[in-house]
Amino acid sequence: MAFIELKDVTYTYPLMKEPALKNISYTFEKGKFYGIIGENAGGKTTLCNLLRGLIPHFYKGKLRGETIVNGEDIKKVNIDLLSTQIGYVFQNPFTQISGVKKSVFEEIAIGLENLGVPKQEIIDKVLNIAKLVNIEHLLQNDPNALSGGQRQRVAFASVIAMDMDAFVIDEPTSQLDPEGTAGIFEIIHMLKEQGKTVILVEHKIDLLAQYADEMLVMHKGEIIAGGPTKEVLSDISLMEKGAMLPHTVLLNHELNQKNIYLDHVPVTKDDCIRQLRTRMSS
Amino acid sequence: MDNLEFANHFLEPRRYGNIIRDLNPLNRLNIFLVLGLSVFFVSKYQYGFFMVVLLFLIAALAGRLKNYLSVYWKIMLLFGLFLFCVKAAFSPGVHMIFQLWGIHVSIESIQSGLSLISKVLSFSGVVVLFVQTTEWEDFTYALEQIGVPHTVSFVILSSFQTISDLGQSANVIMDSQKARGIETDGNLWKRAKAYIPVMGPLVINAVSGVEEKSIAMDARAFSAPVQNSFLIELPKVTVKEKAFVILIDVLFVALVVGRIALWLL
Repeated sequence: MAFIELKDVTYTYPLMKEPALKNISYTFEKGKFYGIIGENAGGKTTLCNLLRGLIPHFYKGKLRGETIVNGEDIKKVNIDLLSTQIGYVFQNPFTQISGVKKSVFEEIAIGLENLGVPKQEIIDKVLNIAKLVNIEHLLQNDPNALSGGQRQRVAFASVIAMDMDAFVIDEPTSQLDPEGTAGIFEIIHMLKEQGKTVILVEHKIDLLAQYADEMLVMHKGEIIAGGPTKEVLSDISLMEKGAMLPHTVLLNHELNQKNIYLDHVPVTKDDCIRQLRTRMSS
Repeated sequence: MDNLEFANHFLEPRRYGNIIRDLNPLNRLNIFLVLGLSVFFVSKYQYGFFMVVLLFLIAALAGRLKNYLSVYWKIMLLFGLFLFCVKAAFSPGVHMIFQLWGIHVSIESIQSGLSLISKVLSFSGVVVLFVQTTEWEDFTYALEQIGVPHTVSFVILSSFQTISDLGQSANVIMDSQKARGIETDGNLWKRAKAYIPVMGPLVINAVSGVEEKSIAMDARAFSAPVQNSFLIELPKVTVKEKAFVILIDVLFVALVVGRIALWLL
């Protein structure tokens, strides 16, 4: 079932000549996990802003084409209502902290207070989410005195705690170490398992390959490839357009050049190991 | 304190265990405003200085004397002393004490200066004391309880936060200037030379920060079309507190009426 439909969408920011998004058409279905990759300034964050309704409600500019969210045109949709349906984690962790709360606990609770959640339920949810995101040790700290990585986790926890139908998440692991990154991906995967729609912009392609149902590759404001993850990431030609591909795909490419062929292009480590083992034993 | 204990303290109304700080913020504002405004209706400057002393006592009672003094001494020095000197030197008077070039210090000009600074110091003291004894979150909660919209209360809360954010950003910029070898310490001229060029970027950053913050709050469903709940609550106002505030207000109204009557008669 379609959750968000983009039909030939082109968007230009105010005072800019070149559009940031060009002729975008794609359908995001409910309950699926979408990964978005692409070079810097390729339009990924602009696409997130559009999906979350900040374009055209907050960022004006010129928007052409149709963006349908839950069956309603984005231009007519009630942005206040949309804020209760689609959670949005931004790229920059330093601007996501409200700055008005004295503890991380209260910071995470803001969204729940805005949704009118009863106090006891807020407390339970904050404690649970803190455990899940592994920030229990930060709960009593001042959110304005956190490091970039800690802020990123708190911002992520604050939005996830709101338990919405869909999440648009823009590079949530840019300031995290590999262990923290893996933890965030596990939570995102868990959200998908709960039936949430997840749209994630990331550069950690190996992890995306492991979890995402579908992938979109953006280049200069256009979607140059989109579809099932295996299909998209198997296309080695995407590298010419600046897209990062999983190491396993690159390995497969190297093997092909030495006339060694696997059953199919492996996009995840597990698949690659399995195929290599099979090949070596035969 | 473990997290569960920390979380459970939100179940109880927030109390500070202090007679001044546990007053409802709006009642505290009411009392302080009455104290600050009363000096404008009492002609004797001695009353103004009594009020200044009273504010020190209240600050001590609230356990905030040190914080109060750290801000208030600057006001005393900058406004109090400066205004007094100007008023004493240039106000007209009959009983001259000292005269040099255009400066005329008289008994009347000194009294006029004392009268002015007693009012300025009292009223500014009230403002500083309120800021020092009030958590802005408590204040905005109290405002929302009397029907002030959530958006307005957030604007108040966030404005005060922006002031402290600006200070922090200024320090960060000055530290980076220092790292580039630019002198930021020293006499007033050196400081001004270092500060003035960073004012532009500081203000632009603050403006763009407001935009980003409003988007961030939208992501937290700030404008969700539902009645918001509160994690932190304040204790219910007691009858004793209500009675005290009414008494203070009645006395103030009596003072104002009395003063107007004296003017008219």
